This record gives sequence, C-alpha cells and structure tokens, in this order.
Amino acid sequence: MDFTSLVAAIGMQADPTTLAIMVLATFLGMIVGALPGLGTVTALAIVLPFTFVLSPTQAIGMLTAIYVSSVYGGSVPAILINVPGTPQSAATALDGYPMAQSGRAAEALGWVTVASAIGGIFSMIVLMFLAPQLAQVAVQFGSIETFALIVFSLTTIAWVSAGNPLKGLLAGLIGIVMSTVGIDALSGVERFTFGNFELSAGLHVVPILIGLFALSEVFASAAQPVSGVTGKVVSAGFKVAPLQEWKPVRKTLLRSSVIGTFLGILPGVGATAASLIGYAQARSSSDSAQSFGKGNPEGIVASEAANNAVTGGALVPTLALGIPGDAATAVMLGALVVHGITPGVNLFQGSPDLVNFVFVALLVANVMMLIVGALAAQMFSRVLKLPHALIMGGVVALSLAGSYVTRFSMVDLWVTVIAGILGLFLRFANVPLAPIVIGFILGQPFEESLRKGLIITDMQPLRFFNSPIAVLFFAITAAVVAWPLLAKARAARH
Amino acid sequence: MKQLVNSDTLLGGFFGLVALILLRSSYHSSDVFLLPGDAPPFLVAQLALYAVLALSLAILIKGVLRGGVAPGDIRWRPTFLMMALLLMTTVLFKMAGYLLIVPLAVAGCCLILGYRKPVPLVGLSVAVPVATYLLLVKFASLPLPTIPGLEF
Repeated sequence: MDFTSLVAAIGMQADPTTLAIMVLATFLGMIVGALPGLGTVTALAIVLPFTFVLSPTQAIGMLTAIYVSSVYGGSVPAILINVPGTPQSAATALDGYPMAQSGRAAEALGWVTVASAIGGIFSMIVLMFLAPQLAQVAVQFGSIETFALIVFSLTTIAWVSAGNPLKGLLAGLIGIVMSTVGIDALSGVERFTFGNFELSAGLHVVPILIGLFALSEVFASAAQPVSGVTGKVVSAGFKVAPLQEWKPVRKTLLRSSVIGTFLGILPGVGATAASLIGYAQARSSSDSAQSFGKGNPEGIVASEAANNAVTGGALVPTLALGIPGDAATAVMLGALVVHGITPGVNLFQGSPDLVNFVFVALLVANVMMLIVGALAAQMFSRVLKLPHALIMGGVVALSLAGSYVTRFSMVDLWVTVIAGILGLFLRFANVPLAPIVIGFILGQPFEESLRKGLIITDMQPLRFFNSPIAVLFFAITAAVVAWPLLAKARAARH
Repeated sequence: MKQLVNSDTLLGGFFGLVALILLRSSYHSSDVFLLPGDAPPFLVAQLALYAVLALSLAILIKGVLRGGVAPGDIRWRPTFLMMALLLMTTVLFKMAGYLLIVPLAVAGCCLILGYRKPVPLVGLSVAVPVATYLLLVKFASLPLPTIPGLEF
C-alpha cells in the first residue's frame, strides 16, 4: 500500500467542490434508485454526459456516489410499498415491508441504511487490498492471455446473467459487432460505416447506454404502463436500532458482506443474486428462521449488506483488469475511459493517486449514503408519489441532451433512439441488455488482443494454447458453459 | 404464418437477417492492403457475425418449434406513438433547436403516457429542458442546437 498516494487521494477527496458534487449525487442516486423502473445503470447512463465538464476526480466521485446510493435507494420502495426500486432489493421487501406495515418503517430504513453502509465499506476495504494484488498478477498477461481473459469474462457474463444462455451470448456478440463500427485502427479500413463520415469515428458508449437503458424504459412505459403508487405511503423517518440489537445480527452482517464482495468479483453474478444468497444463508443459519418474511431485521441486514458489498467487489476486476463484472461497472469503466483513464495494470503503476482516489471515494460515498439516507428518509414517501409519466418526461429531456453533447453529433442522437427501440424489442424477447454494453466495451480490447495474438503466433490460433494462463481461462470458460448443460442433461435423465 | 410468430422467431429472424447483410457488406469491403502478418480488419466482426447468425438460427428454430404465441398485454398504439414522437424529435432536433423541440417532446411523452394535469405537465415540459440547457450551455459551455433566428 502506497501511503503517499493514499494521502494525496484523501487530499483530492477533501476538495469542497468534489464533496458537494458527491452529496448532490448521493441524493440524486437515492431518488433514481427509489423510483421503480429506473435503476443504477439508468442513473449512471443519464448522468454520464454531464460529467464531461467535471475533472476526472470529480466525475469519479459523482459516479461512485450515484453507483452506491442508487443500489441503496432501491430498498426504500421495497420497504414502504413492497415494490423493489431495483431487482437487487427484492429480498429486502420480504422483511422490510412487514416491518413497515407494523409501524416500524423508520426502524426498517435504519437497518437498511446502516447494513448497506457496512457492506459497502467492507467491500471497499477488500477492493483496496485485492485490486492491487490482482493488477500485479495481470502484469504477466500478454495479448493471448488478455484475449483468453476477455473470452472467459464475456462468456461467463452472457451465460450466467441471462435466463436463456443463447440470448445472453447473442447480446454479448451484438455488443462486439457494434464495437467494430468505424475506422479500423490497425489498417485504416472503414467498417460498417456505409459511407457515413460521422460513423467513421465509431459508435460511442454513452448514446448506446442511454438508448438501451433510459429510452427503452420510456418506450416500455408506453407499452406496458407502470401503475403509480395510489394508496397511502407510510411516512418513513429514520431510526437506528440500539447497539444491543445489532449484536445478534453481526455474524449475518459479516457473512453477507463476504458473500456480496465475493460474488461481485465474479463476472456476471451481480447484486440481485448476492442479496438472495445472503438472505437464504441468513435464514438457514438463523435461530429465528421462522420469523423470516414476517419483519425480522436480520433478513433486511442479510439482503442489504450483500447487495451493497457487490459495489466494491465488482470494481476489483474493473480496476485491476479493465474487465467489468456487471452493467453498472461497465458504465463506470466507460466513464473512466471517457475521462482518459484506462483501468488495468498501467493505471496502478502510472496513476496510484487516481486508484487510491477511487477507494477513498467509495468510502466517502458509503458514509454520505448513511448521512443523506438518514436526513432524506422523511422525503422518500413524497418521491414515491411522483407520477411515472412526469419522470419519463424528464428522462426524455435529459437523454436527448446527454446524447447530443457526447460528441455534438446527430449520429449519436440517432444511435440513442435506435438503441432505445432495439432495447424495447430485446426486453420483449427476454434478451438481457447488460451483455450488449459489456460486449461493446470489451469489443475493442478483444479485437486488439486477438489480432496481436495472431501476429505473435504467425496466424496460428492453436498456438494460443501454449500459454498456461490462457489454457486455464479457456478451461474455466468451457467448464462454465458445460456445467449447466451437463446438469440439465442429468436432471432430464433422472 | 401467424402460428409461427413469437418473440423468438422475430428475434432470430431479425438478427439472422442483419448478420447476413453485414457479413455480405464485410466481404465486399474486405479487399484491402494488409501489412505482412496482420490479421484482416474484418476478422473479429466476421467471426462475431457468424456466431450471431448461428445463434439467431438456433433461436429461430426454437421459436418455430414453440409455435405462435399471442402477444401479452402490450399497448401497441402508445408504443408506436412514442417511437414516432422521438424519431420526429430527432429529425427536428437541429432544425428547430433544443429549447423548442424538447419541451414539445416531453409534453408529448407525458400525454402519451396518460398524464393530463396541465400545470405540472407544462411546468415539467419547460423546466427540465430549460434547466438542462442552462446547465450544459451556460454553465458548462457545451453547445446545444439553437432556435433559428434566436441565440438560445
């Protein structure tokens, strides 16, 4: 641990403008996370173009705060109206809503906020120690190993994150094809531009993100109306349980934090699975298992510590290897690249201050979530009453402006609208959207590493198997693909 | 024919067709000068497109075997109206200017989604685009298209 750069990072974080931006972003992230239909990725996608005017550290601070607080925000409607704002808060509703119904909504929000912050801070500490070690391992990676790593990551994300693996893989491949549009950096050949000069620069990640996640949500709202909150929403408040009530749940808190962090590191698993596994583990090992689902705070702690611990875990491969673990970290990776920061081993060696700033920002974002969550709790019941149509109107205005200012190009605006329509079609066909973004972001390093690898091996791809690290990644990829198929075949036989 | 329409046949058919068109286009333009030992520029795109084609066919066959499925509870008219609204907004974005076309788009979006209260509707339609404009153009100096003849 380089303490000099850590001190420098703390200095950067202490900048009043950065802190003010992070407070605002925390508040904004909570609201967007709390609104059903929107979520972490949509929030990050809409805000991303607005970070172009900020310095890299301010942008990282803002996006980190939104990332952390929007995951937390999803739990608010889960507790108050039994509708999770984000899928990762589904398990929170199981015990949070019964607590709110019995008049303990403020207490439930207290459990959620503190458990989320502890889970997030735990994962930040793991990130701080694990990411540099992983980056050290990655020093040994050449083009062939990088190619094998990307194949492993993309396959796993597509295979694991989707209900239907074929559709997950299709989505990842669509992303790769989209990344090849524009002038080829090695040969100067134009690819899939169809004579359009503006397409020569290639597609940009921001319009694709905004279209797939934000505009497709607007179209989806038109296709299948989201019923607003009609009944009375409990006015929440905020109350932290006394310390003695935390003692019985401390094991659950730690276990869920470990589960969330570990699952966050694995590509494609994500916060939803983490919170469900954390909840199931807590229930199976609890002395009061029969009270789970009836307002047991341990259930809330299990779910929330796990889903917020994913934030730091998912950043481990993102920062150390440049491989995002899920759609949210894919957006974070895209944002870093937009700001001229390329994650990976070079970042750890060349800009340790910036790496440490990410760690510090994650810590500060979790603390801010605790403070802003406590202060803003009373306001959540009003936010949930906002008409969905007005929210979608706001999304349209921000999406169009954000897409255009990305490169001041009408092509980007067209890409946004077309991606929105495509996103709606893919939603209807049950195709996950996250692998498209991850495929798009990893498409360029995938192509570069493959082509460099082919040059090194004299155009003989079988020589890729001479690298033990590559063989290891290919073997794990094959196992990831084969395992569910074998399990399915075995189940069918029995 | 109706008995074959479901999300899988549409998905497989659409992406299969797109993959074929792009593959054809890639072979038309892949006759380029290459440095010795370099891989062809369309290599990754073509590999990915062949994989897309194979997966699309698999999904298409799966869909055909599944047979026709009546679409769920989807409101087609508002969906197409919303698409038309945003496509029209994109066409007019540069010509009409951000502060003219986007408030109309926001109002149209809210109306399509069934919101009818005039004061919040007009308030939001004006407030969000104006706030975005001030933030991006005045504060951050990022230009947005202006209304013809006016400087905003």
